[in-house]
Amino acid sequence: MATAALRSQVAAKWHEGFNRLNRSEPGISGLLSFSQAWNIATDYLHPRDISDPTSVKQHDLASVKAAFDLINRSRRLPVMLETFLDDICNQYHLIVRDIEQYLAEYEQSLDTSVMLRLIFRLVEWYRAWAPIEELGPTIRAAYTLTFQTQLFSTVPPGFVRGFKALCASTLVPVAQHTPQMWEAFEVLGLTDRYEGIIASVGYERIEDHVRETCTGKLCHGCSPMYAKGAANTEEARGLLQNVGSRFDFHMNKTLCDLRTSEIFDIIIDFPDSNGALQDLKECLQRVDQRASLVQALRKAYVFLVLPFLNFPPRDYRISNRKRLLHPGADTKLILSQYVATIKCLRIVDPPGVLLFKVADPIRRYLRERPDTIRSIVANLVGDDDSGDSLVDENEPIQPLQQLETEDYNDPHWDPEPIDAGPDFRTNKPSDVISTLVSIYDSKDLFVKELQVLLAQRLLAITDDNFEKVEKERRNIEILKIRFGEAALQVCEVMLKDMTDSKRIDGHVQSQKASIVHPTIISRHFWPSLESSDIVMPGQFQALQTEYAKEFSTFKPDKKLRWLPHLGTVHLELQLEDRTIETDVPPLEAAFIELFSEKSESTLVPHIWTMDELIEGVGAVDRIAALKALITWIDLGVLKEDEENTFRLLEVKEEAAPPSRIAPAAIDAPTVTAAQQQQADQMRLYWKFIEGMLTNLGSLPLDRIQTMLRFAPGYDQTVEQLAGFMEAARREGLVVGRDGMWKLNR
Amino acid sequence: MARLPANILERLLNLRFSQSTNCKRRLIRDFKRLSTDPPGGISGSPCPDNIMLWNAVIFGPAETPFEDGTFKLVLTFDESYPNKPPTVKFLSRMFHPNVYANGELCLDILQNRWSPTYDVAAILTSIQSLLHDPNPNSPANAEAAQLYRENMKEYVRRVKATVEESWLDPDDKLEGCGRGAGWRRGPILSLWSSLVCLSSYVIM
Amino acid sequence: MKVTVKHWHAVAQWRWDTGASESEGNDENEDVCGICRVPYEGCCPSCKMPGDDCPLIWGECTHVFHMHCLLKWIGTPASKQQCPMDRRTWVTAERKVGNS
Repeated sequence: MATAALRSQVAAKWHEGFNRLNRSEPGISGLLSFSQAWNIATDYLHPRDISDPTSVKQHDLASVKAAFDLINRSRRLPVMLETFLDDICNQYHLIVRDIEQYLAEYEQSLDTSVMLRLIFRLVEWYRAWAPIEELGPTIRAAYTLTFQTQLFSTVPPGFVRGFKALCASTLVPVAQHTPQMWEAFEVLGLTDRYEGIIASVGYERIEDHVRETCTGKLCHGCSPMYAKGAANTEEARGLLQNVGSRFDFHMNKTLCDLRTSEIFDIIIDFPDSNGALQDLKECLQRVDQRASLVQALRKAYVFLVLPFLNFPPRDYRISNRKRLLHPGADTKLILSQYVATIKCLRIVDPPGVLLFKVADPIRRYLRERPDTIRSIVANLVGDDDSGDSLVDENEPIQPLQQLETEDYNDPHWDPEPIDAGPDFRTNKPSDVISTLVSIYDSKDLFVKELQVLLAQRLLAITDDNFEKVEKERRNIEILKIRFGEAALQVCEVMLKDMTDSKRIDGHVQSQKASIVHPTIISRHFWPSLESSDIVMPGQFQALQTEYAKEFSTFKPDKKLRWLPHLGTVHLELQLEDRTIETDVPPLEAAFIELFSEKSESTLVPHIWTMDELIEGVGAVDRIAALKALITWIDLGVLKEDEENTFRLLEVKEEAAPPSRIAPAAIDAPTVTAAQQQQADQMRLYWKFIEGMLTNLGSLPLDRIQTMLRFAPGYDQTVEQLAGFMEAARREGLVVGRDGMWKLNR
Repeated sequence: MARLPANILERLLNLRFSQSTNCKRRLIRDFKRLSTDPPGGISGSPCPDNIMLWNAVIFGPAETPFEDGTFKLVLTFDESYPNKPPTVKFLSRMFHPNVYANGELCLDILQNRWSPTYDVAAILTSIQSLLHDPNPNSPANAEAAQLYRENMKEYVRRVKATVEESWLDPDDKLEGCGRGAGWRRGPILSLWSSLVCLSSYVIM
Repeated sequence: MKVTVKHWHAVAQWRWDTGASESEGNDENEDVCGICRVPYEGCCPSCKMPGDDCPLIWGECTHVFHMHCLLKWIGTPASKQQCPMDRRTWVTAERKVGNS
């Protein structure tokens, strides 16, 4: 029951409403014009099916504007908006229909351009339904919100997949429409809504891209490429500012991880891998991955060093680190890797903390290897016979750097990096040689080893290749810069002895020609050359005495003391049926001289026992004697008829008798197949042996055997190996002297 | 006393005194000889920071009043060594006819009978035998010379006093050499400290 | 069989002929210059090259030194021109020096 009060209230409201709508126009003309305006406006705003061309109506924008103005003046705009938004919701099925269509098409073809068209279609919808600007931002925002809410609540799950694929597709270089697409995303609110997806697309893309384009490409760094990529999508980036820095970090981290995993190859390929190192350097500055790099490096070195430690071979066979791991991988190789590591880490981390952390274990390891010094020294002197020099030729030669304590007065002093350990020693950028020498505590050891090496090389020089002395002299001059004049004084004396010897020999020969051409050395200045007590027999002694006499005539205050075990003799052996010319060490010469003496005196038995021979040259150990005799046996000059009894073969005998060491191999089970198998197997291992001997110079048999045991499947006994080496020697592949085997070059 | 191989010693020394003059080279050889083949009852070594300055200890020869004494000396060389003798001075208070109150010695081989063939070992051995056989005819300490000639008992008593004193030698007499802290209490300790002094060369 | 030596690249050390009969293999007791205590075949502390550049000098008294070492000693007033070994007046022996 309506009261009068209520009634009057309603009347008042109605009147008020009427007045608002009629705007004090006469009669209800105002109301009529409002109704007209409402119709125009709602008709204009009505969300139409844009795929139905008939639904598109032309509007007189002026009258539409007037209508809105009228509605606004009548303060009916909010109601109007509500109606409009309701209409949007009601009409949204039109859009959903489109979406489903496109998605169906996309899911069939997986063509992202369908997705792109869908996006643009959605924009079309959005634009078509959007109210005019004049209605102000509030209405516009309300519309956008509703549109997007509708969109997000109605899109099927397939949309997200397609969207992601679309995003990904645009990251392919030179994607078309990219700016419009991002614009469309923004219009549709997709960038905010799917930020996570877009970012993950970015991450995945970065990872894939880094892996695809950077893996193995160590020569050109990838960071610059990325910088370029970023420039291309700068506009897109602009829309994604907060994502940008995350992308940046992610990219650095991915690249850093990649390069870290590749560190082994980077080091091996250095300096071709310079680009990759630059990547690593830049990435490390942004992401903290130093610890994992150290770990990776250490691991790489474990692989490198492994064959020399007593790890079961299985461990490294399963790893696919193919290089460096055969038993012949030698000091030189490790050294060159060490040098490469130094160079690499110097690029990545100039203060040297990483280097210290990684290099220290290697240094400790190298220190324990007996041939490290020799290897470095051989390298210092240049022209060592195997492979590349460790020393960069472009690197200026400079005095050795000794380890210094920190100089706090240095204006360029920087505090130690934060991850430097307490035992970290600043390793100022120094040349490679200094770093190598710093493996040891003093340079004295090096200088000593240098002297030994120089002595060996100088004593190998004869008149035929005397120009080599000048070469050695030049080397020493270079080394003086590094080690200082005083340290190499001894080398100077050795070189002077060489030239003096030649001069003296020239004089002696001019007085009384001799086939002896000695190198006369200064005692105390040459490294102790193993001494020997052999006395050269027969004509050799005569030759020595004669020369020494002539020498003392030339230098009356001096005399000569022969070192009969050193040098080489070029001999001609005239046998009944043949003449043999050969270069042999003095002991060999001494033995054959003994045989020739006996053949002159007694004519019949050119037979000597081992003991007689040894006695005949004074004192020499049996192994050396046997070696010398085997030389002649191999030349077919002597024959060992029974053990330790040797006979001169005045007339050649067919079927070269097996040498002394060979029987061990021949005594092995005489199953042809097995032998053949063994031979095949040994051929396989020849590569290893060749590698070892190339790298290490000469090795005793047992050391070769020890190293071969690391090779997969090797099961030969040392006797079998001895037989093989002997066979290799007969083939001229190796030479054996004093129990040491080396390649025959 | 475990000795280092001579070549290592020499290497260390060469390292340590790398800018060798002729004199220094000779002193290195002297030290090498003294370390590898030390005559009995003497010990000596250069200061860690100055090879021209040596500390030495002479142990009083047995069956003399000087027995059990550990007499410290300092030897100062200059560049003309070995063509000129070093200056030798006792740091320990001595009561001996040929030793002045300030520790300087009156010994012919250190003056007009010097020969460049002498080395530190020879010098110290000569001084050691001087303790054994004083020469009262060229007295540096008139009282000691007189007692030696006329009152052997008192001479021995006075010498014995210096022997005991030598075990307690104060550090402050060791000028210019950073290794002084070791000289104290008794011959064993003293010997020990001189070894410490010696080995400090080897380690550094 | 006839063995003909065509060429022999031998190695030898030079030694000063100090007149002392050399017992072979007695390498350990090498002679040193009494002044610098460096072996005769080494060089005196002033020299860098051994041998002709740093020769020995013989005295009538049979004592032998590096020439440079002895001359330096003789040059000091304290030497009184005496041999450092026996304090006899130094007379250089004619035997070795000057006839080369």
